[in-house]
Amino acid sequence: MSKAEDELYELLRIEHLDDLDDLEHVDIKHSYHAVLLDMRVGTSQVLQIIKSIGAINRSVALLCLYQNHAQLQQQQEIIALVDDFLLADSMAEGELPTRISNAIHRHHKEAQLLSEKNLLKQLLENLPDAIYFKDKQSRFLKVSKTMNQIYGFSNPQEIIGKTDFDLFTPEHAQPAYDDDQSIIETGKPIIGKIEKETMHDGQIRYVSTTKVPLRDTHNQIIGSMGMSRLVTELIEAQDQLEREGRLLKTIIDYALAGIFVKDRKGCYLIVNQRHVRFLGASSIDTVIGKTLFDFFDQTEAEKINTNDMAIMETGKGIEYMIDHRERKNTPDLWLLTSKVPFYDKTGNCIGLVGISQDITSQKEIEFKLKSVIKTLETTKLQLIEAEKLKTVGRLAAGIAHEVKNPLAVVTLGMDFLKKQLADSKEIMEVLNDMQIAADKANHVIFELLDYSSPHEISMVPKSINEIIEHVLTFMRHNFNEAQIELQLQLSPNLPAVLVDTKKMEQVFINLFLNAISVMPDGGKLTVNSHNETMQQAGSNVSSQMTECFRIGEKMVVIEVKDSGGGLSAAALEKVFDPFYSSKSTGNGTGLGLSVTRSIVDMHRGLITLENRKTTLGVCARLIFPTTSTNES
Amino acid sequence: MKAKTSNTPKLEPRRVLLVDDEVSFTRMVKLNLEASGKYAVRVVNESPMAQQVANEFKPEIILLDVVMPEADGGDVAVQLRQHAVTQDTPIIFVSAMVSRKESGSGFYESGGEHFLAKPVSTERLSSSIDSVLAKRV
Repeated sequence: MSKAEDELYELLRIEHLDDLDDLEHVDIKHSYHAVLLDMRVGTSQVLQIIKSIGAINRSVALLCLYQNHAQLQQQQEIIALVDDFLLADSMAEGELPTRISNAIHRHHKEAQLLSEKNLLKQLLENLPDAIYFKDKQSRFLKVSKTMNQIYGFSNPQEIIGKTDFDLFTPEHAQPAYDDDQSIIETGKPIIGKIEKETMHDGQIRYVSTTKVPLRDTHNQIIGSMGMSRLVTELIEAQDQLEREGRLLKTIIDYALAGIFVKDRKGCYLIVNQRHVRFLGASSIDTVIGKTLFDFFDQTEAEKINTNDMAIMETGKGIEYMIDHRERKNTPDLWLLTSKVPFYDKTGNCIGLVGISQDITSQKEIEFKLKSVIKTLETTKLQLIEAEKLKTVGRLAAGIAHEVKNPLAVVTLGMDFLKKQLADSKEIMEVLNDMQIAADKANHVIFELLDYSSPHEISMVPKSINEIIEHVLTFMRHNFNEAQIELQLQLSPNLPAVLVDTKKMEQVFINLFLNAISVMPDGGKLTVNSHNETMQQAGSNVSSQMTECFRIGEKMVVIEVKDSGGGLSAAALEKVFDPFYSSKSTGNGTGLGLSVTRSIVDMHRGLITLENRKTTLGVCARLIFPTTSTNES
Repeated sequence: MKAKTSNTPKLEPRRVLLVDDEVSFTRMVKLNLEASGKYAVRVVNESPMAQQVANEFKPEIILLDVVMPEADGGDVAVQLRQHAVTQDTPIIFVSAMVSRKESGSGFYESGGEHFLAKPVSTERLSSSIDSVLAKRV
């Protein structure tokens, strides 16, 4: 053995098996780098052994030792499976360890290459993307299994040599080819480009493509390679999203309602033109990012804002809220608004969406209708009143005839007696007294006829105090008789009210007669008058008042308070109904509170009846607009 | 009153026909008017008799009540206006069915007719008759 051979032997740890059968019991995989089979011993089981070693571990190098070339010739099948073979007859001295060492080395390299090749194969066969390698003319050199499947090639070789023009229509093939050529020319990759693949059968696919130059081992560009991932669903989803977005925008822009979206802080994120108008703003741009406080006064803005915040905090939307917007330079606006909170994916409320419909014209119709109904009601009451007066009139005419004739006789009789008895001063005095009495009786009859005769309504500005005082001059007696103390608190500076004197007198006659009737055992009647200015809606201002008077309007208020037993809730509700009377039949004046109210209505006034708060009794409250604001 | 009667003693009394169903009233009117000496008053208490009495009496003026049983003042007036004897004789309607506004001072004209509201004083009655007769002359 040479020195070199010795050294090699020292590097190799060699174990010797005499019997091939013993090989089964050795852990070749973990124990050896190479197996040298001496084929001179016999070959009966060798093929099977070689195959089993190969299957177990390809990192083990296999060598076969033959006697001579002739023996080798008979073993062609085996030679193809082993890493090297040796011929005992022609082997040089010291060759064996070198050959073993080389075989191990070579085998290791081959195994490595095979592993890398396998990785590529795995990649090409299992990735769900289309992977391809093209030459400089953009002809396919190799493609992934997926790509073959996608383009319908069952035979993997079939696509080789084809180009994009074979797979796609020029609409896609041409730009793809141009991209390839640009990559080859410039060496610059194309990354994540969305391509629309147009197939010959009309099918359309969207892919995200990344292509890079293909280089040889000398780093020379020899083509291109790339990977295309199917993104049709993604693109379609994007398209769908974009379509939906446009649809939503169209709906928002052209809806016949104001639409708005606010963030959690109340800043406008989205508004349409119509809502911009509701806000009194000039354009959408001037609204986005702003809040209610930029468009309304502090009180109004706070009111709406509190409402909005509550919606976002509680998650409870509101539907069909009627929203009255007073505006400075334009007519008031009535909106029908619905608002709902909206949430992000995790369920956090991130704002609210609202829709407002302009119902101003409907409201105007409603108001007109209300006014028409009121007029009709007043007319109805006036008709009832007229009918009643007609009855009173007929009665009065009958009485007049029956009373005046005897009075005529009395008058003329006294005239005659005066002439006959002119000399007696005493008789003349008696006759004069009788004449005065007859005149008074006649006056009463005239009053009755006047009262019941229909007359034109004539509205004149007059102080209500004057009317009250006039009525009291001929009613004071009734109060005295009923032992009712009268307390007047009439404001000396009462503004004038446009009134029909006679009608207004009736109002107070009715109220006073009612008061007398509810205080059969005497009591106290307080009548006060003063002026007020209409305030904003609040605890002191009823809805009836807001319907009758404008804010800031000057009003005259008269309160007639009795100290009777008061009225039940049911009575208070019905007291203004025609023909309602709490008095027993026969005690009524024939002109009930319904007529009183119709007269008050005619004067654009308001009458309310309520029980007094601090003491028993009823307070009738009359409110009239003053002439200063009553142009109509 | 006395001064007036003494101022016109020489004149023939004016013939006044009074048609009214109220006997006491007609008696009082007749007493008072004739006491002045200026008038001769003929009374008709049953209105259908008015025309017949008028034809005979030939009144210069007729005082006619409005509300009467049988023929009322309107009916009587129509009849009188249609008759040759009375067609130009002025009529003063005397009625209790007059309101103060209509009557004013008690005597007034309406639609060419003269009205007096009951009750009426002798003085007013007399001055009303005189004023109507004065217009006729």
